[in-house]
Amino acid sequence: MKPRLTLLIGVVFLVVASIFYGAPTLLGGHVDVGGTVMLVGLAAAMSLMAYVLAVGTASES
Amino acid sequence: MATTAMTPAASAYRAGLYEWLTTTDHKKIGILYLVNSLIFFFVGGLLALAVRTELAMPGIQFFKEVVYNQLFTMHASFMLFLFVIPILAGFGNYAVPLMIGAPDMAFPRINALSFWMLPLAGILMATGFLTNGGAAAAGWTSYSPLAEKAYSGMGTDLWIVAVILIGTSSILGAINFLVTIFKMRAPGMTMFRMPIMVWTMLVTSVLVLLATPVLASALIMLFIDRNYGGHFFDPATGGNAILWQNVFWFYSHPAVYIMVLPAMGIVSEVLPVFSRKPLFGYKAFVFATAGIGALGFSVWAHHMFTTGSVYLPFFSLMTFLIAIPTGVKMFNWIATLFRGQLTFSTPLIFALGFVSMFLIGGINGAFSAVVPVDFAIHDTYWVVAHLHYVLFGGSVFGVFAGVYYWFPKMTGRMLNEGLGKVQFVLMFVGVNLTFFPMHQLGLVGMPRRIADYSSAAGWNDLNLLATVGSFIIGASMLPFLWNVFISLSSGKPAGDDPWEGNTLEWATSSPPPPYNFDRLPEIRSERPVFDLRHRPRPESADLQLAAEASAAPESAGPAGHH
Amino acid sequence: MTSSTTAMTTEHGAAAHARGGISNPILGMLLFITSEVMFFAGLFAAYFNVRAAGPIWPPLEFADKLHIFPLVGPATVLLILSSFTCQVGVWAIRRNDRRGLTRAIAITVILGATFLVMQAIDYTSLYAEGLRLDAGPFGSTYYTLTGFHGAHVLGGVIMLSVVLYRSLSGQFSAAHHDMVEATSMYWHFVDVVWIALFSILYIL
Repeated sequence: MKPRLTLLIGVVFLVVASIFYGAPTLLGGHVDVGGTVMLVGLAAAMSLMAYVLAVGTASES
Repeated sequence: MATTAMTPAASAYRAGLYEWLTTTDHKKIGILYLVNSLIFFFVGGLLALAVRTELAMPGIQFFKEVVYNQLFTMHASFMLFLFVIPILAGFGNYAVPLMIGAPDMAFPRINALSFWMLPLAGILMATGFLTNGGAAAAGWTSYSPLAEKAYSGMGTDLWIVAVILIGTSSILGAINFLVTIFKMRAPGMTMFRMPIMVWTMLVTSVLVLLATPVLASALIMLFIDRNYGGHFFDPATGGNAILWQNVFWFYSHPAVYIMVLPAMGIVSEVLPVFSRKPLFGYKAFVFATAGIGALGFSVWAHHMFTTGSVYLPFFSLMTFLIAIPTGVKMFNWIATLFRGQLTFSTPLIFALGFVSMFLIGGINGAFSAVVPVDFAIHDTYWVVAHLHYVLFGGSVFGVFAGVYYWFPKMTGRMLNEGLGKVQFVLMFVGVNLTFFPMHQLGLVGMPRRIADYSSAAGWNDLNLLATVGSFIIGASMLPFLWNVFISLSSGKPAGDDPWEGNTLEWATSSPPPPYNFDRLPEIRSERPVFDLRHRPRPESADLQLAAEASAAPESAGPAGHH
Repeated sequence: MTSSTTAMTTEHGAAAHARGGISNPILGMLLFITSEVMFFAGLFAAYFNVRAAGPIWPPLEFADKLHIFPLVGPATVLLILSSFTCQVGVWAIRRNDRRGLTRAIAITVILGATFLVMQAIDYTSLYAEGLRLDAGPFGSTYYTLTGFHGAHVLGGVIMLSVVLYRSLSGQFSAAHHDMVEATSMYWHFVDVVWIALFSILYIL
């Protein structure tokens, strides 16, 4: 599995973070900046982790 | 018997105290985790009995409110941080290297460090009881402003430091598990041939790695608020009390999956063995576990619905979504059992207890996901019922399934089946008697964390019933302890594979030699030992030949590669 | 691992090469770094939360207290430079250039220590101007964020010093220098966090 595919998991959480920030901003409701930051951090950390694990076990499945 | 051990008797050496104190062997460290965690289970359990004794009848009989608050805080803190999370890490420590055919964990010394931080942290937390203000008393959730300097004494500081230590231990363990699982699998053990236990430890380790540091940051902020004049959570100066809850629950919700996924892994190992059927839907299990892990990061504020600082639709929707992968697992467990050739040994019975009670816990949790319902039952005994059904009915029953399943592997002796069944019956009856009435108590409005209640409220009978149940749970520990005590010295010798298991740990002696395997069977599916036991005769002659030819170490691998 | 009868192979490097990919200790360091990302994410979340709640930010009494010059800006440049020198050291030992490694790491240690000294001096001047740890949530978040970053820099400087010592005693070679790689990754991470911190606290 190409290691770069693992970055998709970060994309997933960025999407979640965007919805989390965007929905209350646009539709009204409590906007949680702190939570958004944590989700963005999670996207970064999760994709870094997935990437290094994929690269780290390269050349065998 | 499917054994690959070359010198079966040589493995059972007696280790002295020095060996136990300085070991870096994952098996011994796993056992240390188990023993330490069970000690805290008993301490936490005694605290629970104290809580239930006070609540049995209206009126303050035994503990002043300030002491009562310490009791439930420390009960939960010991149970969550020093029992559930570590004992599952302990099972992972013992089982994962064996199940993937590795000789040890990736970082054995860090493994030992991870363990020894735990008794230290536990003692540190417990010394709170000796301070002037008593132990931490703001609930295991330690909300500000109650946890701030003005309202909480040094016990809280000790608690904070202890939890930071435990968190560090967990994070180091998670790194260890991830590197081990990804890098040290035996040849032929592809990711999709790993036992589900290993998969759950993998996802759990991801959760630990990514969520626990957030808890550390929250605890540090609280410590700074308390001791260095910080104002993170102080509304009077522009801080935000809800910020604590936000950051805390970002960890603590994934934490509850950390507390249950490995137990689900244990159940997923036990059910196939005792139904003599492969696990139904292996790949679905893997994806469901990953899905629970990922979704688990998106629901944290469902613990905060009533604060007014939460975007309700998002969290309610996400919480409902988690029911889907959980339901998949439930369905797959039942499908594994269906039309199986069931052997009702104690591990299976505990696993069945898990499945039934986790189902109840999952369903009553789904009630709470409905926001208007949560507005009514938040911080009532409904939540106490939910969390105990998933944690006790779920995780603890999974733990005991693991204990009965792997005790023979760890010690070379079987636990007594009769005593095991007595323990199960007492525990099952006790848990349901204690926690089922709490659903009703929550619905009629009994708040949690109160030391006393008015007899006019009509809550007396159910509380008394719950207290009786709690003492039955306590009693269930007696046959267990007796069982362990007698089985260690005179239990039936287990042999390599007493249960006719599927996974690699059953391919070596009981207990295994320090390096785990003399040689490994061929790994061509997720049930390598089953395959070894059932291969047709001619190929087993191949294995025989391979064994004879394996005077040279490099041929100690899958037989098919020559 | 081609054979489980050889227990825990002493040459973890060899085991890694047999399997391809990243060696165990370096993979462990990378995973540790991901956990540290989340640690700072929690602190940043608190910062943004408190910042969004306040009517004006920074609060009036601290509005002009955070100066980029004379200390913080140059310190940032030094830290970024130290990442370069650290990487130069890594490239050197990959070519088996031990002296190049020693030189580069020595410079990195000096740059890192200088960063810390500059930060400490900056703290004292900020304290003199009234921006203290207990100065409302602004002070709390500022000092906690920069303070924990500084603690990570200190940890990195200590690790780099150990690398320097080991390099001086000739313990590294092109085939065996996992600690250098791991330490340099940690050091780059510390630098990236600082760039984010600097941008958010001083610029945004």
